Amino acid sequence: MPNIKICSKPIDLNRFISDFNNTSHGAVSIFIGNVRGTNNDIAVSGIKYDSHIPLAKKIINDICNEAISTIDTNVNISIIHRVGELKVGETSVAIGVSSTHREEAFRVSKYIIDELKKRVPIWKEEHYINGKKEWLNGTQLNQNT
Amino acid sequence: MNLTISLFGPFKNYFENDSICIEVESGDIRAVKRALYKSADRTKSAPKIRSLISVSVFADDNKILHDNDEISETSRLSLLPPVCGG
Repeated sequence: MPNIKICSKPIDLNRFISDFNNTSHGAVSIFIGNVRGTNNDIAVSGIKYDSHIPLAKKIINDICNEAISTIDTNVNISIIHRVGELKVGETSVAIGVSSTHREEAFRVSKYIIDELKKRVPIWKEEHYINGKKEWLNGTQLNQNT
Repeated sequence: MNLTISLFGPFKNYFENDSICIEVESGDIRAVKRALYKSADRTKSAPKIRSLISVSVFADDNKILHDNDEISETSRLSLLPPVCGG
């Protein structure tokens, strides 16, 4: 069962990594997404994340189950996504996948982040050094999801 | 019936609160959308809100809803604009 958290507290990456302790898995793939200091050459001061948390957790769970059923059933998955206000350099999302061999861990990890970005109800308001802010454009959700 | 719809992301630019109350004639999502457009037309930012509603979907706590899904006064509805997590 995937471990999925959406929370406002900073992510403890050391603890996140050390929680992958399945001794039958030789590979652990960790994806970390951090707030960048620039976007389209404009200096960013931070990002505010908003989310429909119950639905986001459910859709992330669906995405994980799709990855498991199509790529490898013998994986452990853990995902943390933050909400609220983050400064430049802070980690907004961590995705960890362990598997017997590396190929499956890489593929599941990539599948999850690619799908998360276009299906999960999370939004970003980018804040700039010049004082302006704007909600970023996104992917339209599909009623057939 | 009176409905409260939770708002997310860019919708928060246009409304004071994180939700909006509207009066709906019948009980499906199409009726909710019509009522929402009417409500938007009473604001200063009507064209921008209309444009955003047109690319958004309705959802409850478990799933994205279809146009012909029935709703009731106890439905917990949210309006979800295009997403960009990660």
